[in-house]
Amino acid sequence: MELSFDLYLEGLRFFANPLMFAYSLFGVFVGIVFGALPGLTATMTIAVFIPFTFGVPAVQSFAFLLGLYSGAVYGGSVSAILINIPGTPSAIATGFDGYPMCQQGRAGEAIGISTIASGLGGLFSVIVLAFAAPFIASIALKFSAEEYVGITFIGLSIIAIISPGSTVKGLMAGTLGLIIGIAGLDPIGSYPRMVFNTPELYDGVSTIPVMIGMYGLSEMLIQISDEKHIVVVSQKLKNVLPSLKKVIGLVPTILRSSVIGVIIGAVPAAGGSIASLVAYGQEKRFSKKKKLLGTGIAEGVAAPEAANNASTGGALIPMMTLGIPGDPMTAVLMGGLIIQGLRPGPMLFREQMPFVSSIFISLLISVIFMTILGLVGARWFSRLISTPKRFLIPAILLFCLIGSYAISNSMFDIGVLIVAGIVGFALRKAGFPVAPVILGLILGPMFESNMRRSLMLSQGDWSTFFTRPISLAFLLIALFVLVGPPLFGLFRRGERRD
Amino acid sequence: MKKLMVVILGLSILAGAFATATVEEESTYPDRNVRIIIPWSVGGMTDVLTRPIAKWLEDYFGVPFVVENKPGGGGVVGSLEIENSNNDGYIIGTTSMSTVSAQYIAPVAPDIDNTELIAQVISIPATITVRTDSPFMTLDDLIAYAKANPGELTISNSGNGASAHIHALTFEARAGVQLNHIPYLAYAEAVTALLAGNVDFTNIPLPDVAPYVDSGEFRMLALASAERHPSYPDVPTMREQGVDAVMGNYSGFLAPKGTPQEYLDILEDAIGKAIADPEIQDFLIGAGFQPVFAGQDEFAKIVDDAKAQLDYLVNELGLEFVDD
Repeated sequence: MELSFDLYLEGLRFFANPLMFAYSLFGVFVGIVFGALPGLTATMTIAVFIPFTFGVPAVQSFAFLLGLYSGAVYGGSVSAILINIPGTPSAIATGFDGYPMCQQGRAGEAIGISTIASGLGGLFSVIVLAFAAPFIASIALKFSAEEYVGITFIGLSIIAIISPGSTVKGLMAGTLGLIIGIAGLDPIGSYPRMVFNTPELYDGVSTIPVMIGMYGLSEMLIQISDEKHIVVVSQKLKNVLPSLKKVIGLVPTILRSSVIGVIIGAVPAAGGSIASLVAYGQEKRFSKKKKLLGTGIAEGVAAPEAANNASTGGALIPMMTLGIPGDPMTAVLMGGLIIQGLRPGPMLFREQMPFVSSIFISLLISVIFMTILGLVGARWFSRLISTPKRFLIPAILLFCLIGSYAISNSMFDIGVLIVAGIVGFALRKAGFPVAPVILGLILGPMFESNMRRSLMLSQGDWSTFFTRPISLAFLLIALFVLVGPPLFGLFRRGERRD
Repeated sequence: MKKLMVVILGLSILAGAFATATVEEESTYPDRNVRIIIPWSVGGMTDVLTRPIAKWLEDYFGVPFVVENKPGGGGVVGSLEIENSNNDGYIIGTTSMSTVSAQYIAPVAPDIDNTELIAQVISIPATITVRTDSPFMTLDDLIAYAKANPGELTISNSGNGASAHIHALTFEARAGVQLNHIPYLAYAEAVTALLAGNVDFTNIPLPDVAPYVDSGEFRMLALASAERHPSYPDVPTMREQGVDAVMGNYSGFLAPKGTPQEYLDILEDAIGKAIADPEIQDFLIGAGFQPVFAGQDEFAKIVDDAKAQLDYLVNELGLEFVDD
């Protein structure tokens, strides 16, 4: 495969059109607003806006969608800091130190640090994406069904290990997702499974309405039932721009977290929420100020924010090169590509290189706009969060309905949304995370169809998974993910005894 | 002054009402929005080719032709919706071979007899395509090897029971070989599998393999059309090489059963003019399709052929798409 630098530069020509910048800026702006609104996740924001991009050329639609993506992932931190309600799941860890800072009257400082860390994390991920993605794309074409089995298996095993909260509950939620994913005509033999003579279920339960229901609708139901969140906090914002000295002091934290963010983002099925939690966890292990974490220190805000924005570029790597979504957000983004008649995967790099490089440049521009808007608009955004819930919740519910219907003009999907919302509400009330449900639903069918395809190609020989080197490597990584942490635990306990 | 305004306003409303009334009396079909239901998703084969035709019809009739995608179940959801829509001529839809083959796969499937066919607009011939580095130089090479090694050669198709699978089974029967059929999600994935060398060959229709034939990565051993393709004069047809099979997918327009014949004729005529338009021709050929106009009767024959092909496979060869 030829991937020359010239082809890369060809993507630049799209940016001669000022509309590209306008779309990007508009996307970042909308993304931050939606991301900051509690209950409107980045995933939902993108899902809701994709239908509006139908008539727009692919490059411009992606400038907009990537702006949304960066903006929403960042925007979630603002509400996490100000009212301790993460605007998106990926901002959960940001609230650990952000909210205490806010209570100490340092909300402006916290938002400033979160903005700078997000910007640097995002920048890091763009660089990795631009330089490593073509390399990964060139080996991606060597992937056959066996390798997809390995890579989806890693994704599934990650659910087991780092789902927030209880591992057992995470596993149970993941299994629920896998079960939902079984519905539909089976991907190889077309045998109807759990379709109840309903043609709408032949392709399986639509992922996006389930996602919007589990995250958005259930969050609204929780806020309605949980009346103590009605309290609206107003905060004075000062010193939004942190000093250079402070930023330099945070560089090790940001760098560490960015690496974590890109890697976890690139692993299918992980994504920003897990990346930010892991980064916070690492900070707790390695930072000089680890004992102060949780009391309201800058490191505690910078680590998760750098990680979740770094995961944006990371998650685009498997999406663009393999056609596998890195997280639910990119799963929705992938839908946006397919709608434009572009199939993500190795073929995209072969056939649409200028478009691919325009994606990298769009992401870079969105990171820059995000940083500028974040610093300039912090005061204004905080006012949005103070919107009374009696206006906010109905508005968000309306967006959930529109978003679900628009995906395939189907009333059936509205039903899926409502059922998913109620199930998600029940799960969350019972302490189950909903992310593994979504990931199980997405990864299960991929795992199944590729495993069965592999066995058809090998004429039923299971050794095909071990004799192909890349497939073997993936299986070993999955094994390490599953067995590694308990082994380290044993090792560390042994150390302490000495 | 105010009174005058009210009088003028009232008069103009009355005039407007009368104007509408007269138009309604003399109305010619179509005089309002026509919905075109596409049972496949945005960006799919049918969507890509239907949208420019819809645009053309919109300009021609001066009323909006609203394209509505109702994907799901490999076309079953949208096709059922077309069947069950009002037959007043203001809802029409698109169809392809999948509409006919669905009955063998899906527990609830549309019935083409519940619709009125209007016109076929394209056909896409199936191919026999290998990678350039494949040892098979001709169709005979491939058939000879497949006969010597039954069940060994892998062929990628676009899903169990999908048109490409049906064509592969027909090829198997007519050439007297046994193949290992590997189903992928859609045309694009089946082509990627061949590009990556994961399968030995594919029979995915011309538009999707053509770019790689042109770039020198694929070699087309045969086309399943009646005659050679003008863009690929060196590629022989299957018939020329002793395999009696003419097969491919098609796409066209249809309407719910009972739509007035007069309206069907108007639409048939307009679609015919659209296909004859050089701009539409260029677009369709550029996208790799073969523009073919077949009116109501001719289109019915083509759909009957597809049905016969399926019946032959299922009833004569005892083939089952669903192995339970």
